[in-house]
Amino acid sequence: MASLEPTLRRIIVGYRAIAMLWLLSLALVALTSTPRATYPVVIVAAVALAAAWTALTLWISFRRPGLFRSWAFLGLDTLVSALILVSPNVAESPNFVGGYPLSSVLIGVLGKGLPGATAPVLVLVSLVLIQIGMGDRPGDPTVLSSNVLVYPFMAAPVIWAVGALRRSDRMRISAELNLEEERADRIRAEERSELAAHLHDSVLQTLALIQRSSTDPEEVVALARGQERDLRAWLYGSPLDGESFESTMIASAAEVEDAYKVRVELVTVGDAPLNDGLRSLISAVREAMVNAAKHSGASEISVFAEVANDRVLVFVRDRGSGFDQNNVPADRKGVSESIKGRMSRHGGTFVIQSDPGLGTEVRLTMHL
Amino acid sequence: MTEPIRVFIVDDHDLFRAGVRNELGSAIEVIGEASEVEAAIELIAERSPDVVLLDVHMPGGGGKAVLERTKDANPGVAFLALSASDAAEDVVAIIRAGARGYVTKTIAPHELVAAIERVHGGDAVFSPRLAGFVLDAFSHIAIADIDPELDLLTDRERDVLRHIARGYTYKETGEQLFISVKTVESHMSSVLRKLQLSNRHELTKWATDRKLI
Repeated sequence: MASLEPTLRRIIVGYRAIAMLWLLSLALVALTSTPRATYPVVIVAAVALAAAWTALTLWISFRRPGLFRSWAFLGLDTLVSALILVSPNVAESPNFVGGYPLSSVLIGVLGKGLPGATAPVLVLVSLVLIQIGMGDRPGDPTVLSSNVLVYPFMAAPVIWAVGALRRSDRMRISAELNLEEERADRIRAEERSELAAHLHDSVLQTLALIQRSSTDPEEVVALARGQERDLRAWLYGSPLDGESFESTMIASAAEVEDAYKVRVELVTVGDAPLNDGLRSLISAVREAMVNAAKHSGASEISVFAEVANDRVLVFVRDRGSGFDQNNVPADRKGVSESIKGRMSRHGGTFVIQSDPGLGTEVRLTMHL
Repeated sequence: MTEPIRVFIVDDHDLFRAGVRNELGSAIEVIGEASEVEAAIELIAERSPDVVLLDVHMPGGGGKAVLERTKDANPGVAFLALSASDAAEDVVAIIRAGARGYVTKTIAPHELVAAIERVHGGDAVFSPRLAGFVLDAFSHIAIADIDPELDLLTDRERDVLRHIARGYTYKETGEQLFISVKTVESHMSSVLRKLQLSNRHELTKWATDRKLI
């Protein structure tokens, strides 16, 4: 919705431009009629002053509308109107009812409301009364009284109308502000309750569980770790949207953490869309993580995965007990053989390096 | 016996400061602590510690503000950043502000002591995640305007970073690559220098996106 003040300004300054044309036509009539005007130079000067001042008013309304609110400008404006009012062509045209001077009253309403209009009305009315008293304004009483009453009678409805428009505009603006504030409040409240709900469902639940299982340090660590992961994903966002190598690795590491109460330190470099080869790679990585969790005795497993050019490299490492690779129980050998078989069917490799007492590292590669 | 390393702790969590103070052994002497940025700046200038343990997230600008306002006036102080978060933008911003290392708060006490000794010795300390991030950031070769001195990692530096990302210590990395720990350390210092000085888009975008620089 367009705001009110520029519209009012256009209407009132527009009126002044019309009043200026009115004054010009009066002057032309006075200059060309017989008998000839007594002071043609004064008429031309008054019209030139009015034209210049009108041009200035137009410029101000586009560039410096704030000036309309200054008493200095309004005083000058009234002075110009007063000069035009007392110039001979106006005095010699008794039917003229003050079209141009009235525009000063309207500019006063625009800038200062009721007091802004009252001041020029008083000045102009006094001037006309003085002229009548001095006999400078010939004519019959009806015309003379209309010359006086035009200012207050025209000003009153304009003051009322502009006042009413401004009040309703203020109400509209404050209603809009209230609505906006309410909306912002509602959004804040919703965010807050969402945050509270999330914290309640996750963090508070976990803290309660931790207090209940405070005698089981492993359980406490697992709970804290799971909660940390969850909160991180919630705060920073996780790449869990869509099926990618990285997101599946993150999910897989989280599953192992939860199921075996170990810490999996996963670092991934690069990402790739999942395919059959990568799926079998991830299931082999998962097997390696589970083995480390179950058999190494280490509390932390380091997993590093790098997607580079045409291949993916994964290292699963623990600092646990390790084992003698020449002396692996038959059942575990079977598991590792089956993983190796699945990997090699997709062109991948699977190598275990283990030293008793130092830990184990499984190195896996898969071509993209 | 050598002089203990004089450490100053900056962290707004009282419990965490107390915990760290208890964990650090005899090789470390805690000479002061601060819980806010202004106090930290004043006390670091006054006591000139060897190493400052710096929390990344604190009211009033965080560890980055402390670094920026103390680093130039105290060239002898090494900064080791500690944080609960290892979000990439935090890590990169604090390293580029001048920290010599970055570890997460879940670090084991003996590893924290080792990290303090390492930054005090002038070397870099990378967590596996930071190593992974650096590999990622430097892995895409820019088309134009690269400074090979600063914008590319050497093959050896990549090898060392991969081992750190795999969870190897510097010593283990050296054994795997048949090089000395000193050589591993100098490779990592060189990586740290590149991370701090390179203008690579991948390194700055985190920080500028989030108005951290």
